[in-house]
Amino acid sequence: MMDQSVMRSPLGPHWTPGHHGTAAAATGGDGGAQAGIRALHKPGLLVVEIAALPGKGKAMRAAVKKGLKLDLGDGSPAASLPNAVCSGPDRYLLTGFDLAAVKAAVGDLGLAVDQSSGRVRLSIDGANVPGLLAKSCPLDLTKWPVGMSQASHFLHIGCTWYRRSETGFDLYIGRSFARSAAEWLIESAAEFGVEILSPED
Amino acid sequence: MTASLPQPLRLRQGGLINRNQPLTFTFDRRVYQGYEGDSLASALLASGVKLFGRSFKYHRPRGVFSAGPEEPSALVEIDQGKAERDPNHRATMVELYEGLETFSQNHIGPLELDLMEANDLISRFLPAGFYYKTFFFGGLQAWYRFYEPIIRRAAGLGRPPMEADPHHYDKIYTFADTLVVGGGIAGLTTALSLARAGQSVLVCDERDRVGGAALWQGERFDGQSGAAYVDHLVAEIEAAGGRVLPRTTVFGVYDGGTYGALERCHDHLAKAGRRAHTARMKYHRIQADRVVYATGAIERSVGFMGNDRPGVMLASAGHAYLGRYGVRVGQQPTIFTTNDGGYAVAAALAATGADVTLLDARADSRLEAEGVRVLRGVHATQAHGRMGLHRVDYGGAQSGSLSTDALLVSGGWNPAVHLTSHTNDRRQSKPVYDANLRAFLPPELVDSEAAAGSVTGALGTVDCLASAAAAAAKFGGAALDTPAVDEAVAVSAPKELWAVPGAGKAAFLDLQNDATVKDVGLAAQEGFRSVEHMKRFTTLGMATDQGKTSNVNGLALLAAATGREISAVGTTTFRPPYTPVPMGAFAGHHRQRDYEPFRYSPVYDWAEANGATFVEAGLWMRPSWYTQTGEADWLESAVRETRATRDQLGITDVSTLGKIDIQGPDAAEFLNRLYTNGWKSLPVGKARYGLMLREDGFVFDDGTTSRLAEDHFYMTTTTAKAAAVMAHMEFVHQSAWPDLQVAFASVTDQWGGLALAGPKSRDCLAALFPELDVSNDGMPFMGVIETTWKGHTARLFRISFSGELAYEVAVPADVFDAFWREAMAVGAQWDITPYGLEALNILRIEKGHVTGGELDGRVSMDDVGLGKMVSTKKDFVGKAMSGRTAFTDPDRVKMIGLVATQVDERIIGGGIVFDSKDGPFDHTTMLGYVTSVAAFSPLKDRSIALAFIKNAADYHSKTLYVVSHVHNRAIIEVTAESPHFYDPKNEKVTG
Repeated sequence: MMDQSVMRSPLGPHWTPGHHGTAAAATGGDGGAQAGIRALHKPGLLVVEIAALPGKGKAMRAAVKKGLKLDLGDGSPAASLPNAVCSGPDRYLLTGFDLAAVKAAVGDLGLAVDQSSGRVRLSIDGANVPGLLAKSCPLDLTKWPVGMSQASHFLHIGCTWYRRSETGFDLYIGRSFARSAAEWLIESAAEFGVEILSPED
Repeated sequence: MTASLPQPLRLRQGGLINRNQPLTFTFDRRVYQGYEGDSLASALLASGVKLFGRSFKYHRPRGVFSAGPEEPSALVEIDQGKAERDPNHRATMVELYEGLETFSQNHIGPLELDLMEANDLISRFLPAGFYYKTFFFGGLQAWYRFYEPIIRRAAGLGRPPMEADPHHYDKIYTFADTLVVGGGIAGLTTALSLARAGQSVLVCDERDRVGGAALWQGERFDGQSGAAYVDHLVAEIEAAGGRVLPRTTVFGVYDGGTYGALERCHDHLAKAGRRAHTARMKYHRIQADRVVYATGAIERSVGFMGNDRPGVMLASAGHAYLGRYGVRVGQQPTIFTTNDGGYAVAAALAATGADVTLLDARADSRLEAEGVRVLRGVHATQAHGRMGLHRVDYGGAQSGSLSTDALLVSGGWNPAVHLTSHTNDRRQSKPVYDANLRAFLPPELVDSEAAAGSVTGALGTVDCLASAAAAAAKFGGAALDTPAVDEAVAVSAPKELWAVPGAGKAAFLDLQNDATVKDVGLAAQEGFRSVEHMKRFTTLGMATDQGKTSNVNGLALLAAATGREISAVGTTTFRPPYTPVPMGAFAGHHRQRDYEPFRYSPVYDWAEANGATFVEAGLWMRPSWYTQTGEADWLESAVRETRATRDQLGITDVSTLGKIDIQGPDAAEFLNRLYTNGWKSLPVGKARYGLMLREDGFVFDDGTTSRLAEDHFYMTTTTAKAAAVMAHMEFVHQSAWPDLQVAFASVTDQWGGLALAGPKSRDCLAALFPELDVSNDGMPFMGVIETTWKGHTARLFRISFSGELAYEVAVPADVFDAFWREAMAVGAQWDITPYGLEALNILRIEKGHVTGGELDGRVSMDDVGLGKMVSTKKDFVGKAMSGRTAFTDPDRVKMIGLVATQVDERIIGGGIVFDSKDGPFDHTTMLGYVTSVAAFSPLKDRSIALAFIKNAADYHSKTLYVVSHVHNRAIIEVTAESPHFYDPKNEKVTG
């Protein structure tokens, strides 16, 4: 059994649950009832990266569909799922599956490697998220359908984005960058007010 | 609240100011009052102020010349404290707020009694080119000691802040289907048409209030005032999903539909009114499929004597101050015009009760303006009034002199073509001269560009609206009803008049740079026929003016002086930015400690709490040494850490090493092609040191790779080259061997890693993993074991960088902090000592291990003594080129060790190696260079180094000399020996 008590957050001292920045009422975000932006990090999230061997992309997706019940469609970033985000050609970040289950599904069609410690997922949501993204990410929201992932950056930190909803996004970054990213996210979101949600939320 | 202060030139009504909201401000510490909606310039003019500053070169008294961003003269400093002292604000663009403190610039002593005005008295001896022709006398010494210090003191406008900028700036990525630059009637109309057609439209306007001339020209649209009609357009645009950004200057056009814009968010607000956590300015990087240039036109002056005197301004400025701010710029104003446009302002001023005279340069004009005395066929010849205009002389069909307190000049209009000329991604990017309009027009635009309004050369609002309809039609805009324009302002092309007859030294073209009509003539006389050369000789159109007010008159006069057509002379090249942009806006959030992200090891907090001093290694924050109580400096700490590791047990964080997981049936073959040595025979459970070359045969990177399964490898790279190695692997896999059945992923961040080094490292490892056999038999040198620690995967490697018996342990980064703390607790019985990069460096130099200092992109495998690591049985990246003749040249430098002769002398990194202490210490005698230095080696009890020298084998045991030309040039005596100072037989690491 894995001892969860020895696990530590990668986000550093700035990432503390509660309100940061401009008071919620002043932002007008979500009718003033909530901060303009809400952010969440759930520690202990299982992340497995898979990548198909050359020419095996389609077969790997079929195997994943069969073994993990994840329909990755034609393999395009637009066919990503909330728990299976395309991070490159024939390459995905799967969340919520342990390595053994993924290995069993992928078999000899590709690589499967644990990234539970290596990738940090920050989820942001709220009326002012487009304003935050305008500051931090060079992607055009009008050309980014819900359900699509994109490889880009967040404040110059390389990352994979996934659009969960109109104003909801998941941000996957390397663990060693997470502290800087968390700090900058809070600073950049301060003008809108940002609520760091507790992992239990 | 301050009692109401006099504003003698403010009208009782009219304008777009809020007379119910008076605002108090200061200029040169004197208190004034204006109203909400005022600019600094309008409020000062209303208060009767004429003198705003001093000119750059001659320190002539100057007033306000314009009412917009083209202002060349009225530049002021805004002071909100030492760090927020901000010079060179155009008073015409500074919005008034309560408590605003401003200062005039460029004078010694009071503004009215500037000591530097002596320059004006001797101005006849300071013509264009004076500096170039004068300051070579006396040679370089005279320049450095005399001329340069004087010029430096005199140069520059305003005082820069002397402390770090406390403001925050943001960079914003902004997208639109169509960007409309300019929120005048034409821009707004085009935007509305496009927005209604479903396009995402962004309108940027540089002013605090959009609307352009419609706000002050007095025309009515469908019966509404200009301001009301503008508000209606803005509301309609926003209702259709468009965005309108005021205070936002599009300053540059770049390739691929990229535009730079600066939004000023705070400067118009008193400190107390600024929203917390918001930026002073936002730099928008706009990406748009299409652009509409609706940038308007800038009125131009005419060259005549004294045309820079305070009280002389552009006619449109006088109209704007009246219409927008309710300020009558003179009780007895004179208009001097070359076109119909001057009549509108004359009539508007006369309607306020002013005594107005209009000088029309055209003899054949028949236009009249109610209440205005018109003199036809005459032009201003000289304006009088050093501190404020009081008289103007005129000549032409008749001559005479008028008492006047304001002279409003219109020499015609220059379409603001700057942005249309910024890119070179079309056939023709230079503006084109239209001889009928006597103006430069935008070059031929490409499919994604359109122009609307007066920038197209359209004269008058009706024509501007027609051009807007055409621009909208080009981009598929929706049809709009054209508003009826009542009380339309009369317009016409101007009479060609760049400078009046007799204009010379005191007839200014560029008020900002004090370039005169005479200077242009002098440039032509000196042979500067190119407009670009003329610009540099005279400084005309330089600095923030960038040709807005001065360019066309100057080049027209150059054309006349050189007997050419204006079209043949052309314009200078317009380049971004259109108006100045603070450097802070370009930096945005990313400055000082936020300049770039840091990468943190999972044990950063532990290291910080335990005395680590960090060094930035790439983006990583790595412990350099751990200070203990009583230690005087870094070297004392590093030497203690080194000794503890050699004698007992050291622990260091190696989480920063690059790590790549490689899987697939062809994984071994892939490695075989990447590395110089063989990999197919590496058994599962073993690691191997490998060296990669670049295509050109030079060493690229090194590291160990372990075989975890037949088809599964775990590679480590150096910290510095981690990303480069990953990119290299992607490249060769995708381009050279796409069929190899292998896939790989970076797992650098997945694993935290520590090294246990020293004689007690095996004991410590055994204590951490009591269930494992880590004896020399159970885990021999280069052995690899995969196990678990508290249920989490752990990988153990018996590898050594320090030269000691050593192990590296990797666990998932989330649990690494806990694992490290456990290692510290378990190792306490052997006095486990954490060591940083400095001690690591001493250890590896003693061992003769190479790092980036040695693998600097210029060395071959032989150079670093690793030539034997080449497999002759296979091909690999860089093999062919590594056989080049130059690589076997006996003169080639090779690695060697150096030991300082004197105990108390330090070898200097980067020092040059010589074999004689007699010199000369230059390239003719140099043997090589030092790459890595241990300031003190406990092993040798003195400083040691790794170096590369020619014929290295011949110098073993010989005395050499190291000189650092960039340090103190001291000559350090050293003895050369093998670079493997410590345990050359590897008994420690394998025992």
